[in-house]
Amino acid sequence: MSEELHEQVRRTVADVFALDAQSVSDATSPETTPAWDSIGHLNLILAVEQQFGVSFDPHQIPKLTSIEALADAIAAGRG
Amino acid sequence: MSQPANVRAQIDAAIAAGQSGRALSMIKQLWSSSPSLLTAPFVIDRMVKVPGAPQSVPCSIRILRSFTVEPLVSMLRASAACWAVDATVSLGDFNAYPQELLDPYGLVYRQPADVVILAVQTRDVAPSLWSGAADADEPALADAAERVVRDFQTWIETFRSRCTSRLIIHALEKPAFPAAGVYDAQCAAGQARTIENINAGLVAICRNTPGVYVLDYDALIARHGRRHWFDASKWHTARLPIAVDCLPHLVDEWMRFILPICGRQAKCLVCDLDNTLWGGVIGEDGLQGIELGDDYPGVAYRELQRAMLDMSRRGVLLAVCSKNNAADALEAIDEHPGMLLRRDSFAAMQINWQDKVQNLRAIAAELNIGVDSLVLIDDNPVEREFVREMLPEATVIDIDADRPLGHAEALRRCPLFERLELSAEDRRRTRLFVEQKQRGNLATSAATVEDYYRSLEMTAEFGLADASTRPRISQLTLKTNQMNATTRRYGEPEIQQFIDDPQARVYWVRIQDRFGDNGIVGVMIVREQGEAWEIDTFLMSCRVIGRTVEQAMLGVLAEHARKRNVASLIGRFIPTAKNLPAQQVYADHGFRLVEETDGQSLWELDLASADLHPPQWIECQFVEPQP
Repeated sequence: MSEELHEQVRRTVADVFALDAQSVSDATSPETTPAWDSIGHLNLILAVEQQFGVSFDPHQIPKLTSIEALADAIAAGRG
Repeated sequence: MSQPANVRAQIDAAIAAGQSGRALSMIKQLWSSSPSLLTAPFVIDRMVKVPGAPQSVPCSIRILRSFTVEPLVSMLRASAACWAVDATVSLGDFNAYPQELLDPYGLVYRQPADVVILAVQTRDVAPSLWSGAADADEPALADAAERVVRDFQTWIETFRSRCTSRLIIHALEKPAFPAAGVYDAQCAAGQARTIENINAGLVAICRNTPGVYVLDYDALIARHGRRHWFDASKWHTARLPIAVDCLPHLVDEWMRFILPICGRQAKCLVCDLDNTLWGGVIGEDGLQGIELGDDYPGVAYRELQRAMLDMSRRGVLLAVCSKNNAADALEAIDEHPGMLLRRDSFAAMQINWQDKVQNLRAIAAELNIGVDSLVLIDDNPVEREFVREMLPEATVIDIDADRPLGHAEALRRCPLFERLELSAEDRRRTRLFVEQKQRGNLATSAATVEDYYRSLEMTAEFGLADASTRPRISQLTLKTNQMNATTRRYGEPEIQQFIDDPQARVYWVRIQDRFGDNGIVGVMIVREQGEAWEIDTFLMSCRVIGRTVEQAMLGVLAEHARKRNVASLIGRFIPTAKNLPAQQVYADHGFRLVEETDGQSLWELDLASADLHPPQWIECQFVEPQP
């Protein structure tokens, strides 16, 4: 389940930033991805919330800058 | 999750196999079923990779805004791509719209876009009306409203005086909960009423300013549900007030303006009959058996007919394309008491057993319009897919045969029927086509072609453009493809520039004949070039092609030029995929070929020696401009 969720998040990141799905790994972050700037981050959060049917707490959002952090927050949000 | 990935693989396979109709159809369906930040980059990327896709129209869009619109950009480009518009989107700085509109050296005027969107909301434009309404008494509210309208007026007038871009302005939205609660509606001028008054003032300004349009933002929000529209969390953290699920709705609404501005408009709505125009199958159920009337389910079909009638009032032609026995179908159309549309509602009918692609081509040919101007509404998914694959330039509306109550809305959602201006000609268009058919019948009975021209009893009324004729003139330059020598597209602001230019003249011609009034059907724009008049634009609606109207137009132009001691007329022909009928127009009227390069040609008529007059069978008169 958790690995499948990671895979789904990786694919979402790839879609939002128009990257090749293979090039997205758990190491992908704003530092490694030029398109992942503040607007890119907003786009990603919106896409993730829409796709996974979750709504993040505003405090959480700035910290969701890795595949793992996103996957954990989605899992927590789904309860 | 797996399904979109699967669809993407199928799209890539179709592109690789060169199945362009299938690929385009799947990309558009992917976008319409899941328009989102996830699908937008894929859609944008693949639309340009489809081989032989219809030519797209470039359109530059600049969004001036009081809130975050960045997430909308890729969705706007994807949606535009699905309608064959290649959108370039740029953004004004956050909440900098007033200075950007007023700064004469800013980008808005240094690099004018085709379309400028002013995306604002009440809380930013009128903060005291939004959150401080309960503190103010009625006179104070009225003062605040007046100030906001004055601001709009200054922005709009400045904008219009400095550029010719189209401007789309978000009107102001009302709060979900007025400050005074239900009491707000009891006041002569409460919070909601005050906002409505501002919007009325905005509409009044825009109505008098060519190329400036109001987007009814409040109606848009209401259509999708006010409580779902606003996202407080994204507003307070990222200044994005709109919930992610509603972002595509705003994009769609923008497209309803952008498509007509780009000339992407459907001219004809073609409908199927069985289970589309009525419920059931006429050939099996018979006149008494089909569903159509005031009760469910017949009422669903009646509502679709009402929606079709509304489209025809906007100037959209209606046509029928159905696999049926013509006699059965016509009996229902003529006799069924539930029909809102009748035989004379339709400009063309193909009721036979041939395939729909052939029939759609026949309808386009009969109406003298391109297949890309057709929209088909049909309950049969197999037929729809067949048409999409074979005629990718046409548009097909999806309806669910099991849910007829959704049909009317599916039609009303289609943005290709949007019009930003409506002329008297538009409202009567189907009538004009029926008259045209009668003219065609006459042509076959007249002995010589001259007899035919005479029998039409044509009169041509010429005039110079003013504010009242400007919308129709602009529309003709945007829509006329065939008899159009230069195919230069002009919005109302550009037409106004010609009107204001003392070196230029904009002529219109209106043709009447014994069957009726065709309205304004021709435009000539000329510009003084020393001793000569250069014809910038020469166009004529296909409605009057083949009736020597072009000779009347050039003849009157020559007479006018002679009276003003002009030495010669200069004409230019710029070829397009569709304007072959205009290629010989100058040669046919005695112009001399001056030069020809890459299919473009330049023609000159020496007025001293030319023998160019209107034909005897068209009575021409010039209407002097009203002072």
